[in-house]
Amino acid sequence: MISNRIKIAIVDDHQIVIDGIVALLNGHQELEVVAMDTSAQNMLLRMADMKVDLLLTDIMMPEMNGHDFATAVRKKYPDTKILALSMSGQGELVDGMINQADINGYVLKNISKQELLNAIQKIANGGIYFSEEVLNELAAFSQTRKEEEKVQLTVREKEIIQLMEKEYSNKQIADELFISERTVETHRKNIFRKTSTNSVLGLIKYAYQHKIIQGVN
Amino acid sequence: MDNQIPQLQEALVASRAVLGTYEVERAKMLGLLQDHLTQYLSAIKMNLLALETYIPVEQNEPNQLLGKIKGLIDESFNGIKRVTRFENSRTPLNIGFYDALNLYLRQIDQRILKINCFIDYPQNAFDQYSEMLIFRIIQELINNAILHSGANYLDITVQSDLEAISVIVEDDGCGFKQLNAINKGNGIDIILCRMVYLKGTIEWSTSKEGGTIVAFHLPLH
Repeated sequence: MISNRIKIAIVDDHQIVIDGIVALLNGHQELEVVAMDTSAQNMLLRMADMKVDLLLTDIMMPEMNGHDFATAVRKKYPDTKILALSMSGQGELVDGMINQADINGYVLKNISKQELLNAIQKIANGGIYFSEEVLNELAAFSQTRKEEEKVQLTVREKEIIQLMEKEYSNKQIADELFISERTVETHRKNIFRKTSTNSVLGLIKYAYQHKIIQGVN
Repeated sequence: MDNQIPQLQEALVASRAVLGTYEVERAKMLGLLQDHLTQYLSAIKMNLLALETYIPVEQNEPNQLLGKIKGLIDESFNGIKRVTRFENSRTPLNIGFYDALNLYLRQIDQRILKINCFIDYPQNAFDQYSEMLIFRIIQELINNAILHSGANYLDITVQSDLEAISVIVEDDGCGFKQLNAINKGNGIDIILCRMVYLKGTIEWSTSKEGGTIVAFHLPLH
């Protein structure tokens, strides 16, 4: 009998998934599944009467989602470690779970047995664990957030600036590019907005400064 | 002309009912895929992994077969993820056009496709069904850029004035002609159908360097 077994609670709104996890962990003497529930709210109440070292929880649950559940667990039972086990590893979701719910790990449900066991052991010993796919999603999300608002004129916008510099009217630009005048007008508004200019003269000056139009030597 | 007004109104109500049903069905399919099928697949895999421990390592054939089944499950799991990757139950029908489009764009990995987007869309410029159609058109154009045109950069502008909402989607990919040749069914027919409902105009063109530019204009009623 091992006295310091890791006490695990499992929450997933699909009983078949709970059964699958239990089957997977079965036979590992160092682990003990002490509670299972398809309802996060029920589990929140049940945890008051037992010691749970590690909570394995789903994210997408109908009555109380994993984010709210993990936040409540963190507040009520700060010693319990939380490992999210989800179908989706979308960056925004993971980011919220880390920064607001303060979880200890996040893995996807198609995880291998060895990886799940590693994750449980690592988290129970005070570490954190995020599967590679989840880390990739998180990195992509962080990059999107950091993306600066830079002026990036498109090829078509540069074409239109060059024609504006030749004093083409909207109609002439439309004919030249086989597009409607309305589209030219939309491009023009967009160009003025992107370059923070409000006159053709100001725009042409901007275009020369930024080498969108090359001067004749 | 006056006699035709009730008929036109009836047709409009019917069209909106069809659109509403279509979106409900789409959400149902998404729920079935994401919430049921994938859960069953992961449960099957977990049970298989549990079963694996009962098969002696030296028994090659059962172990190989098990490996093959696990591979097939992973493939199915990833296939569903690919299909539903950017699908979201939060659409213009429940959170409005502006938020739905922003949310959708945030889900796209900027390392795969860098997106610059500007949205000037007055709230409730169109009814929610029309907003849904505009959203689906832009979604289709983004999908084409990601899946077929090999673009690295996408520029989206939604601009409004007193008369119309104008949308321009420009990518730096292989261009419309080549795109059309590669993939005949790239959703253009569906886009045109949606445009008829919205009573708008749409045009495709190719830039000097080859990228595709799609511009559409929707009159405000």
